[in-house]
Amino acid sequence: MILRTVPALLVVALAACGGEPEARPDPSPAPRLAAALDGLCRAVGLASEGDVDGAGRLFQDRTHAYLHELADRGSDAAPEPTGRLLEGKERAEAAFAGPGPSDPVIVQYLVDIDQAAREVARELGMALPPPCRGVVA
Amino acid sequence: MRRRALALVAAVVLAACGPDGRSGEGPAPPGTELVAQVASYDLAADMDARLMVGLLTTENEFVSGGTVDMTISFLGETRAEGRPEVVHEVTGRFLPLPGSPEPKTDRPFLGPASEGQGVYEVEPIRFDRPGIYEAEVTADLGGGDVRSGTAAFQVLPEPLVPAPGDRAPRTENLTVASDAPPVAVDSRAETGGRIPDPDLHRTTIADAMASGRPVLAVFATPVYCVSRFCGPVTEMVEDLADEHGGDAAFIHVEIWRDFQEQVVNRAAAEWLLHDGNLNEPWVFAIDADGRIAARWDNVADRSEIEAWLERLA
Repeated sequence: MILRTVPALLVVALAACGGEPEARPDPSPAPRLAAALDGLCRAVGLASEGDVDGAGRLFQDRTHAYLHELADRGSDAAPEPTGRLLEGKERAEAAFAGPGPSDPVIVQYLVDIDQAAREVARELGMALPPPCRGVVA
Repeated sequence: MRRRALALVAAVVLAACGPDGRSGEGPAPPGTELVAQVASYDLAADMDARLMVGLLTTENEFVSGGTVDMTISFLGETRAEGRPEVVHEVTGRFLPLPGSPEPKTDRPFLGPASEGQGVYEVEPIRFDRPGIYEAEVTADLGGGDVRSGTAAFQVLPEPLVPAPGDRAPRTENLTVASDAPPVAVDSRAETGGRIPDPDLHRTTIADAMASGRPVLAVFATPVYCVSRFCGPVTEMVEDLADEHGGDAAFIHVEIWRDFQEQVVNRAAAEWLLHDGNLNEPWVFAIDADGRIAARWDNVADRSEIEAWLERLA
């Protein structure tokens, strides 16, 4: 079953106004995608240094909300990476919320989110910001 | 029905493609520095509605707290045409996301999600005709920093989702006793390995209605949520169940049978799926007579739900 949401349609419609991203990709990354992935990258850095609380705050403040919007847009076009994106987000949030996995595991959760988010954005024809240096693909 | 859905899409596309070609993703043009997102679902003409708009920046910071000015304009019946016709000039009050910190000031401010998240709500508001509308939202952040954003939305001829006064569908939703994968009962079983709120999955809407109990039902997919409000709203209903469990049956209906395969649970489809479109989360209050007393789309208002529950006590 193909499931679409009205907001998703609206976002796609709005994105189409600028000139059909799949046909004529905008060479510069969308600012909110870039801001979200930058926050994710910095969260990876903090978690790598053992500052899991700081990583969680940064993730919540800079990245979390946009991941939902990206998932909204990607759920039709790319359900597989969108599913991984949302599952990874849930794991990371659970890890940030309480005692749980070790720091390296949390770093891996964030890396997985970064990869899934980039896959979804790529499927949507969005230009991607440079990879995070702290992320080993 | 399908024709109407297609018309809806076409209309929104046309309405969205205004003279500035503004995209929800692109940089905001000068003078409209905020990204405005209409968070309401199923707005319909000739009925009391909730209009909710979220405001954020291209840096993913949120506008929270206080009130904002909203100018609502009618753009056309099926597409944006002619001059926008102002139909409402209203004030939106900040409605925090359940579990989000209370705003630190009485006026709108810009900050990260950890300092406050929510939407600006106008309730009730009525639209006298269906069509394509636009909300221009202006926030005075103080110190001469006044920012605005616009968002288009559609008002339907009639609601698609069960509305107050309607008979509630007698739905056989999945429960912990169902022969179904745990993740189909609650998506959080996918990552947590267990259903975190089993008490909200012990009975069906049909059984609760048959026993004459009022029902508070939340339709949400906490893991596969694309609106970012599902988890907090579901947790809020869990809290309310702890506090008011004797007054009503509290039921969580998971949306997805299988997200990867895009299969929706039948119970969610009965209530929410129309022509391939489904929005969530929703919270429904069902009176003991089986009629819908109230409904809350997306960002549910805890105080209003509590008021309904207290009337039952």
